[in-house]
Amino acid sequence: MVEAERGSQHTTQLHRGVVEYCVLALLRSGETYGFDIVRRLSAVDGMVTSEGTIYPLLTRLRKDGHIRSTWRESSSGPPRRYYRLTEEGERALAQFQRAWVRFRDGVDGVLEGGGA
Amino acid sequence: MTGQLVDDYVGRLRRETTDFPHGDRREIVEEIEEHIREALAERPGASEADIRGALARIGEPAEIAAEARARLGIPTPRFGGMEIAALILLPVGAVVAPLIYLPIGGYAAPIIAWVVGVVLLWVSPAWTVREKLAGTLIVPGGLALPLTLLLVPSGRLICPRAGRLDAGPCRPSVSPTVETLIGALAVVLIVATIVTPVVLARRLRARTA
Repeated sequence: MVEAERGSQHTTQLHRGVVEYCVLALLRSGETYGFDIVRRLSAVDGMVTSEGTIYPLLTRLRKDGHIRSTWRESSSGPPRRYYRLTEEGERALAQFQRAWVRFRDGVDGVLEGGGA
Repeated sequence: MTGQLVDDYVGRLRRETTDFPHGDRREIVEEIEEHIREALAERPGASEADIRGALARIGEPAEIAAEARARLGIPTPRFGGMEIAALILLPVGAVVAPLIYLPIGGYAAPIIAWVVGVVLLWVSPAWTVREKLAGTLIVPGGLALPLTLLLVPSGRLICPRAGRLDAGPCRPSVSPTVETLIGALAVVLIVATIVTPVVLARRLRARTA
């Protein structure tokens, strides 16, 4: 029980750090709205446990200046917030990607017994 | 019925986020509402079970609020020592001051107690700005004393100077109606002073439960 909780807490921390950059990466292909971001992230196994938790993250990224939001008319229903990657966000994403690849390769190496 | 499910859900999300900065709260609630609209638009004629499923995938409002606190650095409201002290000091200044002249500190001590209570009320992250304003303005605090003292003497008797020819019996300086009004105002002030901290305590307890 305690072990399982601790494990899921680690997963949550790891998730928090990584999901953030996955959102930025999704926006590299162009601006889109929240529901679409959540749907595309949810398609990745284990990426999103509760869809609603993506929205506070979008608020955070906007405050950090990594993304920008604008209201756009939608063909169906009321206007939506569209999110777009900023230059600052792009820089942060590139930096993360370099660090991530190094980290992932290192972890894989250790897990497979060939590292260190 | 189905609209009720969504309303209940959004209501719970609003309650979980009452203490958030206004803009953050509006943005998150609006986006979740929009998400629900989009999810249900994909399934016209969604059954109650469909809606429950969609809301379950979005997650418990408490979970979303917790994530938002972690992401946005919003402290979890606590019913701690500071909050208890604020709720005790606020009415103490207002109720004690008009009744008792304390041997130490005189009338100043209760008024200082009220001021400290107000400071704690505003420093604590537990209440919304609206609740803090209510706590400061409705709890008349130090104001109850000067108000009562200013009003009461106007009800004293006025007696004609002795020795004058037209000297008559003493008359009250204000009419009975005005006296009743002053009495009623005093009662309202004292009741508000006691009720407001109780309301603030109950709202905070509901939020931290």
